[in-house]
Amino acid sequence: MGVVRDMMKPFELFQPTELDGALDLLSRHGSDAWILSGGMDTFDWLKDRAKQPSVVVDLGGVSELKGIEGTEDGIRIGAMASLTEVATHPEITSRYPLLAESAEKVATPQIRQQGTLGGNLCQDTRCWYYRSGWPCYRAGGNICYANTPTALNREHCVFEANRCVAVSPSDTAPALIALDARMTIRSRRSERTVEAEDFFLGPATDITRMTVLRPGELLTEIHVPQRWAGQSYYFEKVADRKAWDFALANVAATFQRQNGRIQDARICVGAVAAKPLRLRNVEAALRGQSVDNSLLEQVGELAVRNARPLRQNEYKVSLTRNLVKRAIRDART
Amino acid sequence: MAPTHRIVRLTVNGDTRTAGVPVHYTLLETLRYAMGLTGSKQGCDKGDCGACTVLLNGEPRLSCITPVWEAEGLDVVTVEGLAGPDGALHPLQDEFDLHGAAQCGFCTPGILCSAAGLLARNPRPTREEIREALSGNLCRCTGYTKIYEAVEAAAARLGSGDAERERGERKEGVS
Amino acid sequence: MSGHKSKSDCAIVGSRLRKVDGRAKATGQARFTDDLTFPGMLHGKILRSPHPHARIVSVDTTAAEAMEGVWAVVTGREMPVPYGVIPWTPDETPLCVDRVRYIGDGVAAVAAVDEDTALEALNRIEVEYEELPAYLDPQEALAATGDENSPFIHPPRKEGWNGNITKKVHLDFGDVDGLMESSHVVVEGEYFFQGSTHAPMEPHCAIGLWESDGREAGGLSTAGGWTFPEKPGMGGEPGKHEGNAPSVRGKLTVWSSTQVPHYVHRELSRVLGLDPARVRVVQPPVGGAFGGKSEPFDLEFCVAALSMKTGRPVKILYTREELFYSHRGRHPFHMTYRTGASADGRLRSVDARIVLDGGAYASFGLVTTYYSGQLLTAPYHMPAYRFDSVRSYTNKPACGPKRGHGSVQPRFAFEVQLDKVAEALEMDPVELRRVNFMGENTRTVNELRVTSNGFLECLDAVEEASGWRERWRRLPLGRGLGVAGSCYISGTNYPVYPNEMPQSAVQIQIDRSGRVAVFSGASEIGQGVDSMVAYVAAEELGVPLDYVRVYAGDTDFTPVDLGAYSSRVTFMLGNACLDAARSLRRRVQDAVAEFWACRPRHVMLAGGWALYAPDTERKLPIREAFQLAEAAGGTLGATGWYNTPKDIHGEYRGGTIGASPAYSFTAHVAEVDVDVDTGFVTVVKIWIAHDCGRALNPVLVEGQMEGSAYMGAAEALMEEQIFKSDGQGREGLHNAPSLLDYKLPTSLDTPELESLIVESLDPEGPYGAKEAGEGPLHPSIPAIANAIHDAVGIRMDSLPFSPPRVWRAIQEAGGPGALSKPPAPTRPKQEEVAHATTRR
Repeated sequence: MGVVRDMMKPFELFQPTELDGALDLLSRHGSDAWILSGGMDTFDWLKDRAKQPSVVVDLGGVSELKGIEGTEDGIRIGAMASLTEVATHPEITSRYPLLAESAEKVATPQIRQQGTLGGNLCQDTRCWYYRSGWPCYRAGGNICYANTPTALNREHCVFEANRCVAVSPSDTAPALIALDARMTIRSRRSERTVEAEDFFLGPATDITRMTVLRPGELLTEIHVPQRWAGQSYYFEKVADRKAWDFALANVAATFQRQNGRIQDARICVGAVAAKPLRLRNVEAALRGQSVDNSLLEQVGELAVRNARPLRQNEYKVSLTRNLVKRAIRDART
Repeated sequence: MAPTHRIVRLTVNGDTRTAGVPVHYTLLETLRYAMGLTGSKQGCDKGDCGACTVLLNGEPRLSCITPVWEAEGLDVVTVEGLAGPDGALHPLQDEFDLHGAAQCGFCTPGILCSAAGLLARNPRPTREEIREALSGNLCRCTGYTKIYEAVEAAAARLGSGDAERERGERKEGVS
Repeated sequence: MSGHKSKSDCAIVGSRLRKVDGRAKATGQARFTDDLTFPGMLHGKILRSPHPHARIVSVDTTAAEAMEGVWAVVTGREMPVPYGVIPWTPDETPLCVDRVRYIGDGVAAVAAVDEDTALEALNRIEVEYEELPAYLDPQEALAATGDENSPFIHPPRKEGWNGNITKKVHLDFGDVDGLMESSHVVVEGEYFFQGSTHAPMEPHCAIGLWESDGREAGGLSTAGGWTFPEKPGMGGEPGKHEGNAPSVRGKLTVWSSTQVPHYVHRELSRVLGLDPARVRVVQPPVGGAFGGKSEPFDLEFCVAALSMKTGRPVKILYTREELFYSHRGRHPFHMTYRTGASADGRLRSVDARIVLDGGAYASFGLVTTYYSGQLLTAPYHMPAYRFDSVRSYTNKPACGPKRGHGSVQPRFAFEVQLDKVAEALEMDPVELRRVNFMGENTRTVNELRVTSNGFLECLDAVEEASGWRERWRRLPLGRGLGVAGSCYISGTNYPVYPNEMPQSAVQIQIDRSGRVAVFSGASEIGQGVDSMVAYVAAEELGVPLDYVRVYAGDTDFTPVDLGAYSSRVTFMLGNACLDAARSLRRRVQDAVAEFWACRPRHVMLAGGWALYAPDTERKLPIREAFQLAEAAGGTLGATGWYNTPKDIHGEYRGGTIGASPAYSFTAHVAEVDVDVDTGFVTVVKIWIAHDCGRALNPVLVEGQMEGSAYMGAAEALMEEQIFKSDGQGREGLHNAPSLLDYKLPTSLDTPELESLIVESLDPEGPYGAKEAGEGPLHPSIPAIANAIHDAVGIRMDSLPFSPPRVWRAIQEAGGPGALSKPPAPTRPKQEEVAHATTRR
């Protein structure tokens, strides 16, 4: 703090060219190993010297982690696919425009070129107190600096705070949850698949991690199922700036409709809790309904029923309410 | 003990260049401090401002958060390489000059690279597409208006297929 | 209107021209300070305070000095001479001596073989601090008593003073209370203008090179105290005049990304105890400044001191984070305004109280405190005016001058007040501004001399271009238009240190090749001053523009210019260049006249030729004309200079501050879109009309207008310096010192900008020109505030208009459903109300 930074400390670099090699390295170096994909989150941490890994494993040469292709029941996206690829790939723009739009809203054109989908999902929270290297709960300490009577917490959470009030920064995560994606996680010894919704952790489960990934594990690919392809959808990101900014709130939603009624829906909001929040109560309230103003009012209230705003972020409650209502009212096909 | 330095071999502006740099050097550090290519600027060193934007295989990238090893084997073009091999300026460079699109000039190298990347994939961009393509490059001087006008003029020139003639005419009109 | 050449008589001035440095900047050839390297160059870093307010008990540098690769360490005690850009308030030292006053204050500096080593060395410097209570709120600072639990940030300059006050100004003009009392309508409002920073794209960078005279090693003297010889008896300059040069011999060169090489020269010499004749300051191209590089900074002293200690060149480049600490940006203002007007909308009385949150050091704060009131008195006629301003120190990075120094904040409050007055009187706010127009060739209530004044044309232009009459109050809910006006100085009549020497000067040398070399003391910071002097020289000497070379910003070979601040260079340097170029032109005309046996006034120089005016078929290439002159009178060189008129100011204490040889005028209309569900405000478009006197190159004038309006819109909507106020010893820490978290508008956030140039041809400006770089920022902010009111009927009196604030204001107004457009005036014709006398 208050000291000149912006220069990385030296580290040992590994550049595996195969997934197994990468997993071996991660296994060998455990929590000392820093996984580098696009580097967008990484270099921020390393140049601030808030994190000083001794070992960096660059996944840039691992071709198994790249690529986007259609499968029998949907689409497979390698974790190292760039956000630009996700935003422009014809399979995605035609079948899952919700995902494409969410990727298009990330950061800036250059960062979307460099940044990966896996990196966007696995990035750490933006809480300034935490990122400045303060010894908060998330960093292993015993205080949350963002939740004191005078703290600056305009960007922080309104849902599910548990000691820590940081939020999930990802724009693509809510979209993948709304699309019911599944994440493939591999380590040297095992492979497992989790639903996108379960990939992210809140502080009640583990205050030091944003995702279920453990040391030695890697998110390798993302599967988006056929079920929600081509359905009506809505994505909106609200941020102070229209580029190079993290969301103050975002919403991703997808709907199956028949005869003017909503058969099924999945709605997820981001940047309002430590993990992207799926609004199951809203989804349930929508099933079988046709959209009218009273329904919108009702589900808008449901969406924020459990909100607990902090000193400076009460606006996020109404923001969330309005985004959910807009998502239902203005969904596109 | 792992090596602290490495030899990198880059193709920059058509030249093959070799340099020994610290392992953790970024592409920007290598260009500026190891190869003397100071045209690309460091405005924030965190990927926040876009002044360091260069073209990697034709795509605008932030060289301050690109590790140098990632650029190996790719075609790197910096502001110093935008002009043609005969020294003729890229129409973007000339139009930036004509339109006053560079005030202090510090963001200009990065903006030129972003704009060159845009025109290469979209020769006739709309004003909205230009705004979008430049949204990762902060300019503190111009309010962006002159930059848009310069990019539009360069696109028109590139599209006219008779860039040389048009350039000559414009020059006359400008004393 | 004046004796200026008309547009058609100018070959160059007034055309849409390239900049002289445009090509270098578009090709990457322009070399900024960090682009320079020197053989054997070391890299420096500055250790910064982690405490907002603390005593320095001890600094132990032994471990750092012992490190391999570390060449020198310097601490505050080695450079104890206080300095300040304003000579009356020298309250800082290059590095802190015994007290740190904000998080980020410099404590020690290291020079090492590379940045990694320097950074590591900083970690090995042991500083023991004794923490003191810190003040983040100016009101709390002003309430300090000076005892142990309530210490002053600086020692009081006089017994019994509050050491937390930089400056207090109270000025009173006319019968403020009486005219307020008799006003038809009185509007009172409280306003807050947030702090913002310049954020130039180029971080500050400096390189020092000490060359000893060969007999001694050099080394750093702690004596200091050398001052420029100044005319005695002009008062105020601290430090006594030295009769002889200090004993340190050698030459110091400092390259720096500064906008004030002369002030850097002065203070380097004074603080380091060097004869100013042995100091050279070079200013390479500067990557934006906006006021943020207009005084000496710690890095300039540190590279000098570290080079003096090592004999090697030393470079320090600020990180982006350090720019937020060095700051010197817009002061936060807490303002209260009372505005009284007659029933016909004419202003009667204005009464203001202002608290300026100054941060840890004075910087230009003395001037800021005056400007907070002095620059509000045009373009409207104001029969009575009072302001009461106090600048407080706080434990935050020091505030200083940012584009529109000191007057952007009161202009916001005042122009919103005018909108409220218009609303109360059911008047069109454009019309209200029109009826209050002060006219030209007049004096303001605080006795500033106003010459040319194109404000009415500015109002007409934005009213017309924005479709104001058809659209104001008639756009759908959520969409609105707002108007505001302003004025600004074209430089100040009085320099920051008192002296009677020129404020601006150039030297021009021409030779038999036809080449024109202009040596300009002024600072090119992107605004185009190098191009401006080239246009003037080419116009006067009749050469093609590319015959002119401009060499600028090097104290070794350019005459003194005070710097690129207060919008002074076009007016002052332009006149200085005219002066030099015209004296050379006369020599050329005389020589050609002799050759042609005609009258000198019949010799025209234009377009690369000397022409016989009565018959322009008779002509000589310009280089032959120069050859005739060189043969006739010897080598061709001339100096030219400009000094401001010194007899045009108010006869009261402070009456010289705000006096300018000419004022620019601006009017804006802003159009906004307010998303009532989220509180997001989008500025759709700003129409900018600016009276710049004369546009020497309209391309550059438009660039200044657009850049200003952009920067104003940025302050209106998103930019804010925020400091953590939390406990845990972290209060005063900048919240987010990065270009991600400190929001500059991107291309997608910047409104459409339309420039409408108004030319009033100032009688004293070069070709009639006045400033364009700062004035056009002012109205953006109140115009946006007034447009939000037109859109949704709510008043935003606190900046910035960020989503949570606007959202909260909407909630307080009863929520989105309760919003409505304000009613359109019911009294379209002002004549009908002119006689109304009823008091509200």
